[in-house]
Formats: sequence, C-alpha cells, structure tokens
Amino acid sequence: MIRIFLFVIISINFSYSQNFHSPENRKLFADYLFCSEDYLRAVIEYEEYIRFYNNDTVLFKIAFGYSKIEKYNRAAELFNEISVQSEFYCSARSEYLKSLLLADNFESFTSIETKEASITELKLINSAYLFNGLKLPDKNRFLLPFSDSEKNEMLKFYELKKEPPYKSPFLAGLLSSVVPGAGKIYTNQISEGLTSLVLNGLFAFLSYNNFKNDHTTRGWIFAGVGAFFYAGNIYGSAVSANIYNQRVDYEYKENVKVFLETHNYFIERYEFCK
Amino acid sequence: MNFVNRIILSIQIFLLLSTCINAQTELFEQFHYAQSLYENENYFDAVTEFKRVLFFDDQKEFQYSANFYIADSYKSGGMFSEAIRYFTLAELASQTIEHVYVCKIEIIKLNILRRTTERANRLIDELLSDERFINKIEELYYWKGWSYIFSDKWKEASNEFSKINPDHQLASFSQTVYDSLYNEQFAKVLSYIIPGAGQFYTGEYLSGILSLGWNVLWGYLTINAFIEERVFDGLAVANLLWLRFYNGNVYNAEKFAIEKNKKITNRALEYLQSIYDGDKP
Repeated sequence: MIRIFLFVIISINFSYSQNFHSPENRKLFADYLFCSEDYLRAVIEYEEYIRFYNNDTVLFKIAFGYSKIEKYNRAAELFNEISVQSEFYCSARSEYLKSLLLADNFESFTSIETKEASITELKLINSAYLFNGLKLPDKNRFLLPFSDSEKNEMLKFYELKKEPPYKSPFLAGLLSSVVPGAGKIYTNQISEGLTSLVLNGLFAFLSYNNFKNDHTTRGWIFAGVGAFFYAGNIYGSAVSANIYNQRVDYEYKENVKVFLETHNYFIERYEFCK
Repeated sequence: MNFVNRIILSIQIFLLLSTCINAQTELFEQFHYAQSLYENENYFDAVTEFKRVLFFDDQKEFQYSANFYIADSYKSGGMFSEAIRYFTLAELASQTIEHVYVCKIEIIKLNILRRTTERANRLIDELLSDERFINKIEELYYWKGWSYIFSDKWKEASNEFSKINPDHQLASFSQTVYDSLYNEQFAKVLSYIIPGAGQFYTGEYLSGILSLGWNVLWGYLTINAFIEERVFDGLAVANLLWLRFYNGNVYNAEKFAIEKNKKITNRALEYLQSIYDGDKP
C-alpha cells in the first residue's frame, strides 16, 4: 500500500518535474497571467504554446488579449481566422465586429454578410451605421435586433445621426452681418455675442462722433478699427458654428461609445477566470 | 518485509526526495535566470520570468524577493503604480522587520517620484511614529526633505535636511535654491504700483522699460482726452489700450517670475539628478 502511494506521489512529482518553459507549463502560466489581466504577457505565453498545440480556446484568448491591449486590428485579424468548427466561432464573429468598431474600421462593415448573422452580430452591424458615412437603414429595420431596454437609447442615437442638431456657419455669418454678435448668440456663445455687439456699437459711435466733431483722422481710425472688428465678428461667427458642429459630433460619438461599452458591445461576458 | 522490498522502498523514498529537491533547484535556476535579465536591464522579460517564479513557487520561498524584483523592474520602466503594488506584495511577504522597512521606503520613494508627495509625507510620518524604526529617523528626515524638494518647498526641504545635520549638503543646497527664487506675488504687486517694476525685479529690463513706456503713453493719451473733454475717446483709449497694457504688464511680471523660478528649480533638479552622488528617490 505504502509503495503504491509513493509510486503515485513520485509520478505526480515527475509529471510536474519542472521545465517551466514547457508548452503545458506555459499554458498554465498564461492562464494565470490572463486572469491577472496582464494580457500582453499572457498573449506572448499563449503564442509560444500555440506553436506546439492547436487549441481553439487559446486562439480565442490570444485574439481577446490583443483586443484588451488595444491592438484592435490584430485582434480583428485573429478573430476572423477562427474556424467555423471552433466552439468559439459565434463569439469570435461578435468579437471581430467589436474589434472593427473599436479600431474605427467602419468601412469593413460594408462587406459583411447579414443573412446568417446572429442577433449580437446584427446589433453590432447596425451600431456601425451610427459611425460610418453610409445611408441609415429604415428606422424599424435598424431597431429590430435590439431589446426593449436598448431600443430607446438606440432610437435617440439614430435620430441624432439622421438629423444632427448642427448650426449653419452661413446663417451664423449672415446673422452677425445684420446684427453684430447675433451669429455667436445663435451658436450659444452668448457672452461673446454680447461683447461683439457692444464693441461694434462703441466703435461705430466713436467714429460717428469724431466725424461729427470734425476729427476726421480719428473718425477714420475708429471706423477702420470698427470695420476690422465687424469683419472679424462675421468670420468668428462662422468659425464658432463649425466648432459647435464639431462638438456635436464629438459628444454624439462619445455617448454612443459609452453606451456600447456599458453594454459590453452586446456580448455576454466570458467565464475564463471563474 | 524482505530485503528486496526494503531496497525498492528505499529507492522510492530516494526518488521522492530527489524530485522534490530537483523542483526547488529548477526554481532557483529560474530565479537566477530572471535575475540575470534584471541585471541586463531587460526589465520586461525580467518581470515575466519573476512572475513565472511566483506562479510555480508552491512553497512560497521567493514571494518577497520575486515581488521586490518585479516592483523594481516596473519602477525602472517608469510604471510607478504597478511598482507600488508589487512593493506592497513584497512587504506582505516580508519575513524580517528590515525587509518591511525597505519596502516601505521604496513605496515612499515612488510616491516622491510620481509627485504624490502628500502620501509620501503621510507614510514617512507613520514610520517616524513607529517605535520599531526609531534608529531610522535620520533616513526618514532625509526622504522627507526629498519629498519637499519634489513639491517645490525648498525652505521646508532645507529644514528637514538640517534636522539630520545643520551642515548637511542638501540643507545648504535647498536653502540656496530657496534664496534664489523670485517671489511671484511681490513681482505682481510691484507691477501694480509701477508698471514695469516687476519685470525689473525679475531681471527683464528691456521688457520693463517697454512696459513702462507703453503705460505712460496710453495713460497720457487717456488723461489728455479727458482734459480736452473727449470723454468717449478717453474711455476707448483707457479700456482698449491702457487697461490692456496695464493688465498685460502685471501678467507679464508674474509670468517672468514663474518662468525664472522654473529655470532655477529645473537647474537644481538637474544638479541633483546628475551631479549629486547621495541617495536619490
């Protein structure tokens, strides 16, 4: 009995007989690194392991690791390489689309076939419409894959994408040419607009007053400075509208990204580190 | 048990012991391999290999040293927060009070380096009030001095170094730096009273003369306009020119003082980094 026990212990010890860089040990170590969120080192170890053994889980984890260290293009490449036979195929398709979104590679969505796409894939494909320059699909078709709790928010983004609350630079310039500062007020720059109005009014009055009192030279100086401020105010209003529009775009994209991140891009969380 | 059975049993026990010893020997080798990477300044790979040691170290023999090396590698790579995390793990695995102290000091140094100096000061104060480290007081004053240097408080730094020794090299150095700094508020106030005076104080004579000249010119034109009852002219020149130049003069004086102070402190830090040969964070 004792001998059998010793034999088992020795066998275990020999099986562990530690070549720390053997593929098996590399995988164990990589799993530990992966679960410690040291994805870069985990990917390096998994890549060493995969040279000896083909393993779907490890392939998926490598791609996932690349995604976590923000190498989205490489992650997309690897997710795309996962074969249909793999148990991770469905997850890999969703992760592939997520990586494309994160890499701002919206062009690639145009060539994606939707016929056999899962619900998650459809959600991600439709989300890409919120970023790329393609024509939005019909509202009902766009909202179809989303759950009731997601629909409200997605509808809001859809409408913002369709009709962004932009301000017209031309209208801003025109308003400022009629009433100095009005264009800036139109672009929500109220204090700047009022300052422009007061400054233009002041210079106009100073110029008028000097001409009236026969101070022609000073009258021309104030008229010149006033004209400069007037032209600057028109140009500034158009620029202000452009800046406003850029801010609208920026905030819209940030809000969509935050929404997608809080919903983990509609992908269920994995339980590799249970 | 017959003789043959005894022999077999002995061999099995021998094999069991030798595999156990072998595993530990391999771990030692792995540790030395990681150490060699660390010594060759290959910090990324060193961290990987030390982490491998930790992962396979079932007997928890290398917990302190491997965590310490990982922390030090992260520190060398400028990843201060990760370094603090691993120094804390090393501290938890410490077997001696000396090891605990070394880890705590490393954490303090990292807080100084990443300029979370209030945290560094709090940790130093904790050690100062800990009776176990009563014989380390001078070293703690030393690091507190460094903490003040990194928070630009040269006077306080000088005071801390003086506690070790009134003639301490860094005490006189910090005092000299403190004495050569410009008072930013004083430069501003001077320029409020006499435009350009703040610039003179900071040694920017040309800028001071120009500032004074512009303010005299616009001041004269403003006053002259009011005397000649050209009220709107006066208001326009005062608001659009004089006031702007006057404010600009005050702003400039403060900016010059700040810039000069930055140059002085950068020079001082450069000296400490490249010439001073004492302990550094």
